[in-house]
Amino acid sequence: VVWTALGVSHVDVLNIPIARAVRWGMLCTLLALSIAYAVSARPRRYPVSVALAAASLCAIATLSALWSGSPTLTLGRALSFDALVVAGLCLAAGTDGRRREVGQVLLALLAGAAIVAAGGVLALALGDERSYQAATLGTPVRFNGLGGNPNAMALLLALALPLAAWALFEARSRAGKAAAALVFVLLDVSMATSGSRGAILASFAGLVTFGALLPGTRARHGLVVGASVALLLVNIGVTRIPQNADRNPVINQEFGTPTPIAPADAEFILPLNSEIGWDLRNTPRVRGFFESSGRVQAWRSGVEQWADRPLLGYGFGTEERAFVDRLYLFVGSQLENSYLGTLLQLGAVGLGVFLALLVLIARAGRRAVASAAGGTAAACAAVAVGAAFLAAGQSFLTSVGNAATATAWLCALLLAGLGGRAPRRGEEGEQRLGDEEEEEAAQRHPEPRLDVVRADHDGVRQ
Amino acid sequence: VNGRRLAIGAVAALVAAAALVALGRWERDRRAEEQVRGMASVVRLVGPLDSPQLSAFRYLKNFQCLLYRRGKNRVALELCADPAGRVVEAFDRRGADPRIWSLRDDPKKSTLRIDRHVFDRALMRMGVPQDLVDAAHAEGGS
Repeated sequence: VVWTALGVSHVDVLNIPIARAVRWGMLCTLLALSIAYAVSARPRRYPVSVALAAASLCAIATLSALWSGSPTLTLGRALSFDALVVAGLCLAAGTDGRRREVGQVLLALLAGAAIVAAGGVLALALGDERSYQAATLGTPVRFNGLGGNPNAMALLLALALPLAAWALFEARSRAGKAAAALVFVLLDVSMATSGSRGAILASFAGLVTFGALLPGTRARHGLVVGASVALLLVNIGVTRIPQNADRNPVINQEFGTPTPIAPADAEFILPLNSEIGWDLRNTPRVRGFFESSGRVQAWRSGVEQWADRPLLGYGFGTEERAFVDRLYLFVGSQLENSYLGTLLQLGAVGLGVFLALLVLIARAGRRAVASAAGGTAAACAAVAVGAAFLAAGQSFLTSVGNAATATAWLCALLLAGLGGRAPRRGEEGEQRLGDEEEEEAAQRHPEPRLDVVRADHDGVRQ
Repeated sequence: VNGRRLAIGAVAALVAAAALVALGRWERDRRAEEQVRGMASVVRLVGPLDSPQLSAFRYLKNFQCLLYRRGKNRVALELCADPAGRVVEAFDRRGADPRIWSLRDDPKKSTLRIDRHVFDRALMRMGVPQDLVDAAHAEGGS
């Protein structure tokens, strides 16, 4: 998480020459350790349907190199995605549905996000001008933290926020609760001051999910959900505090001002990346909280482009090549929607498999939430729901280089692992291990029985 | 899972993979043909590349463009070509909404070529310096 975040950070020279190379080494290390973990754990509970759907998605992504216009790019990005998904499956299989081990992975992910957030605050404290984006005529000042732009780290922080809430509930000692609360505030303040609307809404979705699924009384649910609503309002209010500038800042003076090559330079008559909506250039625009920043037009444009290769798309990892931004209102190289991005990359077939995987994870998640792993499952589900929500406004779920992607997939696949296999026909009630298997499992994993853990979740000390 | 079921599963997966590859490649070819047809229509509308209606140019890293006047519209038609002379994008802006054909994401699939020497001369006629024209070929490796 940390190395991937540094790869998209503004921290010279750590970002591009070092972190972007190291992060792939880290991914390979994670993959190797996860495989070793899964093999040594001899798992039996992981839902086969989720594993098959994930394998199908990875297979289509990798095969798409054979019909991509940029086969090398597609293959590289598909292999990195495969590595992340396989690592997530192996981690989930290795934990074998045991909430304690899953909790340790969640804590590790939370620690990664906390380090990234703390690094951003440190950069600001040291006076690094790149830790914030200066106010313009249309937007107020926005906090970048370590990110190259305000959204880069905010996505990660939004997904990690429910994990901080979970840690707050899980911590037994006062010091633990204080540390979790501190991390929660650090993540939330960093995210809210970034002004990233998608991140704020996604964190809200995640926190409400956490509150609704958390084991306990209705009053407890109501308290968490109510606090989430209050926090959303506060976060929106925070984005409204900074004022827009009365003139645009002069930036990157060393690069000079763009000048036409010759008087007939069409980039100064009708720029290719602003062709559609160019007439709006003289209309002053202010970024509102519910304004889409041209996304709706970009999505429409992406769907039109998808229609040219509807079944299997343009190839995995080619979203920014297949989608050509010709919109004045939109600034971006991607569609800023993970579902439409997948549709463009892998067509209707790929999107179908992708959605099937999400549905299967959700079904396993329902079993997980109903099981003894309730609190931990609620945290995983909160991250997964937050990611699914965030994916509607950001293209990130298939980009392993994005700071938030690993957290999203690892939590989703761990959630499926907590849910275990669906009970087969003839099995009564929830999935149960046979007596012999249960005894063997107890010998292999000498930890509290699930019913005792349930009591612990409900606030009763063991 | 017994061996027979495993073998059947493996064969089914291979057949599915082969079908997907065939379908994906067919879609790619079909789309390329459609885009080439559209771009060819603009090439025909433009006529000679160095025609008197040549009104503007565009110089980008991977490709360059020539724009042609029709009536009062200075940017009515536009042809973009990569350094190898493959037409990768074309615009018809004579109507209310621009009509765009593009293989920018997949230039190797463009079978439509223009004479790059004539194209370069037209760029220079529009004021593009010789060294930039040479640089475009160096960038594109041709």
